Amino acid sequence: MESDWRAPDLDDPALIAAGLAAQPALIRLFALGLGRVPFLSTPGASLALLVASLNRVAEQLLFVIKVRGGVTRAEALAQAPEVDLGELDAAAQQLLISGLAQLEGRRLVLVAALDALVDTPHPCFAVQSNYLSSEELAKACRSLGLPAGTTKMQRQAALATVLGDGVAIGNVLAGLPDECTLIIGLMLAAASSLDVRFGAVSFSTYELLPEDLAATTHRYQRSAGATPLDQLCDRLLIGSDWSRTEIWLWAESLIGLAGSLFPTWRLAAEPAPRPYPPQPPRAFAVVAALVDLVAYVAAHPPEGKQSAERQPPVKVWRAAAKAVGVAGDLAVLLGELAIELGLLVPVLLPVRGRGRMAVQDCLWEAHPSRLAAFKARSTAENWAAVVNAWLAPTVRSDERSSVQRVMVLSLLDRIPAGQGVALDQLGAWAVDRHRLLDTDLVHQTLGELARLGVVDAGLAPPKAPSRGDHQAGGAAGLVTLSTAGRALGESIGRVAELLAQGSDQFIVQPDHSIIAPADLNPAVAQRLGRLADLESEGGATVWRLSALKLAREATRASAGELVGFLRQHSSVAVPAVIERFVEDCVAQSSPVLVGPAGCVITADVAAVADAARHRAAKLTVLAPGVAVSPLAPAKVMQILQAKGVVLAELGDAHTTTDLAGSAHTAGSATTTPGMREVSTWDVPHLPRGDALAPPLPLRIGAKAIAAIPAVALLVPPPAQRKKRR
Amino acid sequence: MSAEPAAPDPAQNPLVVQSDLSVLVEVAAPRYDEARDRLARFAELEKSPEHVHTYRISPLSLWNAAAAGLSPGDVASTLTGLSKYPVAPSVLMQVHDLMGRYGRLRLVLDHDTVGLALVSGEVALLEEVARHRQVIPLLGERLDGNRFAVRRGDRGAIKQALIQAGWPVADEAGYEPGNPLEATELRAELRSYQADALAAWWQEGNPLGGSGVLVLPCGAGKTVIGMAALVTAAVHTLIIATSVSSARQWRRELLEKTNLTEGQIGEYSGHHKDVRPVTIATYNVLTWAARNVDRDADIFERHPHLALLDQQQWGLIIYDEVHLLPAPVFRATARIQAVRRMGLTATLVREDGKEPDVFSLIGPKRFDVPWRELEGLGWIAPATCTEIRVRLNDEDRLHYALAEPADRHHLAATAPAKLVVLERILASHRQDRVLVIGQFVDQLTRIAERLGAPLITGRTSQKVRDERFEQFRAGKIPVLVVSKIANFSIDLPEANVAVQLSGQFGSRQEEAQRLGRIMRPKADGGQASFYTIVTAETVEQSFALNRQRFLAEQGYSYDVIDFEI
Repeated sequence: MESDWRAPDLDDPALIAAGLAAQPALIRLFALGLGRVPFLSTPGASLALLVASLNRVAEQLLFVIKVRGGVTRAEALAQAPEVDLGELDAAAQQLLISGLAQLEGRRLVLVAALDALVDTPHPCFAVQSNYLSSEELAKACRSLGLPAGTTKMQRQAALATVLGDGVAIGNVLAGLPDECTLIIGLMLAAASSLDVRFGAVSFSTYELLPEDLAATTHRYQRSAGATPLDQLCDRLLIGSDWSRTEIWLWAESLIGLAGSLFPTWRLAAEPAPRPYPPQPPRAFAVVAALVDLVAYVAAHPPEGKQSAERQPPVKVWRAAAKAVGVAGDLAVLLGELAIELGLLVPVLLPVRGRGRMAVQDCLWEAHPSRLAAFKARSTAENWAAVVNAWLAPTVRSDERSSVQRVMVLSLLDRIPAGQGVALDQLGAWAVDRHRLLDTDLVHQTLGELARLGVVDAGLAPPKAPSRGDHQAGGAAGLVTLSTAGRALGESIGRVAELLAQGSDQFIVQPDHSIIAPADLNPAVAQRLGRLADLESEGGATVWRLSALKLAREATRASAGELVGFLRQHSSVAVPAVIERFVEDCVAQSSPVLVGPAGCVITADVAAVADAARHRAAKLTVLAPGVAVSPLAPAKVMQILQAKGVVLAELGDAHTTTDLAGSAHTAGSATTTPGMREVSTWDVPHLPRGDALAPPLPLRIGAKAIAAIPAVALLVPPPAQRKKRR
Repeated sequence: MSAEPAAPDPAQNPLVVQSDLSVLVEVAAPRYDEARDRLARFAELEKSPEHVHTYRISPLSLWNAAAAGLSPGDVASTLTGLSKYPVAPSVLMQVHDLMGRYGRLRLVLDHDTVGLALVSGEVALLEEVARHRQVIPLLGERLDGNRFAVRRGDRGAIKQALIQAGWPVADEAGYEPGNPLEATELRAELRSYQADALAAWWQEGNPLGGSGVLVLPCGAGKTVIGMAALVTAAVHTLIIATSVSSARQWRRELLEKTNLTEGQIGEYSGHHKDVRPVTIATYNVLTWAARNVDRDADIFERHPHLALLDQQQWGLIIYDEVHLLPAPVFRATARIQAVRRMGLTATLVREDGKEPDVFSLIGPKRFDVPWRELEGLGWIAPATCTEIRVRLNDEDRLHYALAEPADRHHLAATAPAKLVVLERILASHRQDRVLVIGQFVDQLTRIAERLGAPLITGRTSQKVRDERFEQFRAGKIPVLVVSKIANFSIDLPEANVAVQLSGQFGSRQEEAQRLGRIMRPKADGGQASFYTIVTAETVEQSFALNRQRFLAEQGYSYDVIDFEI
């Protein structure tokens, strides 16, 4: 067995990768953006976060080398006899590669510049003694029968020799009252049951010591004679605060007495994995949902407060989720990521108010060129971008959160492919391994990863999963990295390969069900997901054609194209009844907007958005620059004028024609300038020769009190536009 | 040395087990027959379209399997042995868990109290169910640590309550023998599937059988199975039918296919109240409510004719078209659980979702067979289904658009263009026997007048109905216009074309039953044609979609034709 630490070749990426294998969080964190070793020398790297992201073995080794002033491999092994040698070596490599430690001969030592910056959980006498007076040190030396020397440094060295030697401490205690040994014993016992990674270790006198012994700390002040606690503190065998209410063991004496600085070095055993059938990748669905959401928000730009969190309210995403058929939680997550990716940007509205009361709102709109670039890239690239945006620190999630997410991913990466671990076991394991994690955080992170398709989580049997529902399928109660998530750890190319795999054939049945293999090609599955609801998963996936989805899809494709898709991928002839069903659904989807409307206002985008902010007017923005209200025109005008919105003249009155064919002129008495009235059962009908397109026919069967053809609501000629103050 | 037989290739296996406990069966797979037979013991056939059939493993189906003596291991071995892919452990776990619940509570005859007792070897379980809100009022005195007394009249109710509590009870209290029916024999020969259905229900006469529902397509001979059950049990039997016509049909069949005499068969309907060893009653007469009796009064007081169920020492009750079982009969049936019960239906689809009550009170589904399978064997006529879409003219279209939602169905269903289509259909089926079926009497009256065809509605007297049905059977009338009264149990074997003009909203079972009217095998082996005329772009179109679901799940596919005048 080699007895020395192995120096890593910092120019050898393979060696670095191997060294970091025990700690993929680090390499993921730093390699993502910076990629320089040793990592600590990277500008912007946070020492505190770097230390916190180490696993238990690496972190404890770091503290040991600080307390011991460096250790050889043999000394480290003596400190951590229960740890696997490979794990210890990996921890040392971690410290070297990250730039926290260096080799000096055979010893692994803390980088000198960090000596004052790395705090050990147990106070270190070598450091703390600097804050004691030379006289206190001399007094302690004399009490212990040590030569006091002439300098502070000599006194520190003499005391450190005794504190690091358990036998010497034992000899000292033999000459002191029995209570002193009891106190030390109690402190050792308490230290052995603590997880020291969660902060500095000190003990409350009143909690640790028996009542009678603790009481003596007050009864006997220095003038009244030394209590057992005083005797220990005066000899600096333990540390204390001024009032003796908090006491602690020196890290050196803990090593001298207990043999090791830490009660345990062992990492909790990895949870036993159980078989988990691979699930079809959801990358396509995630990317498609993102594009749909952005498109929806672009068509219905929501308002946000520029001064607040720079994001639209959650209800915007929930509404978008319903409109595009995406699970609500996924929509909220993707909405935030769309902003991170720059696909949605805030467009500032005019300032309202003056001076300190001035408020500037914004409209969230799609960024055309970025959205075009996003659509031009492959799904694999886009999915990787989405996942990376989720991983990276953002405005709403700091660097610490980013590290925590990477940690969860790194733990999942250790689960063998095709297997999963129980959710509760994974949480406990993660917390033991990384002190930055807690169970709730792990569960929340897993939920988000599942929504993004990075994790397969069979958290519960499916009921009525919608697109992007992360709990669909899988083995109940188990989680694992999805095949795509695993591939993403390798390369984007591997993801692309994966997304191209799988069967592309399914069976279309006359009862509207579609039976597809579990490994259906993700692109096909994604397209199918736009047409059908997922009914069940397992050995196969069962879908049911949805009239609602087909109608929605009709905005993208014709009935012929949709039937063509089914024909192309069905291994049996598509039943005629299904073809007809698709045609019916497409035919029933109409570009006509149908709904109650008392009046319509049109203006430039900002003016309409501004007017719609006044809720009393009950304006609904149908499209940029177009809004309708169920209220009468006069009422809307009155409300808006009260709010300071001035309406300009519309110009000529418009003629409306009711469905029975009798025409009348609207506007003179009841139509307000700047608005077109749409009374009950009236369809706006523009005079012949008007430049605008004629209205579309009212769809039979729709429950409506008025129908407004979208084309008739286009922005009016410039002369008719309302001007904002 | 002979070589070991090669293990079957899992890829050739027919089952795909889903994590939601549905099981897909590939019809074209080599071991399909074996899979179907084994699955049928513990899963319910949910739908059977052309390529992949879907079975559902439910708590009810597993408890039923457990009642029939199947173990969780048997179920697991069927699933794993015939599955194309590894079965998720959670599925097997659920099977073990659910089946393990059956039989831990037993309902037995208690000889000390001469009543019933709920018994369990697990005191904790007994304590648990004894605290269940719905079980508490049904339990009597605690007889000892392991037994609670149960009133005989609460036998059905406690079974229902315990199922709701998730602890199905094994009913081991057996049946009352009933008055014997002497020297009865069946003159007809049972077809193979009829014999299988009877055996599945009878279970060799032991208490595990003798109650349950048989699901067979219209025209597959459910009446014959009922008669065979009557003969097998050889006891006084009450048959409950949907209408007087149906009751008389039963009577004809009994006289024709058994050696029962006219004196042994009674009719209990609005016309006659004869109670004989074999009595045929109608749902209508049983559910007739006495005037001036409070709604909360005892069921037998409010519905005096229900006393018929308890009046005689019936040994068997046959519920024809059990999917229509009305609530009062349900409640009365809960009190007569000591009598053997047989439910017959073609469509165990209750639009009110009361299938679990059918399970608890009549019994579990004992037999089901895909319609297409019997069609393939020639036991029912092959049928083609065609949906013809007509359009409203401009005036009607506007009228429809302005109508209240409640009136729209009527407007769509009675579109004048339907008459034109009907005439074209009749012109192309001059040699056939055509049933024209509709929902709205005004529409049917107009059509009957226009066609010069006889009309049968609820208002037609029973005598006239019988005459017209007989004339139709005899071929004297080629076209018969009927309202919804002909949806069920009317045996018109010669009818080979049905034209559905309108229906009861989106009722799946109505559509299936109407198709069933023409599915009796034809003497010449010809096929049946089912037309449904639907007004396009109206509510009727969406109703039609829903109506066709059951038949689509049975493998029937509709051709859709647009009709332009």
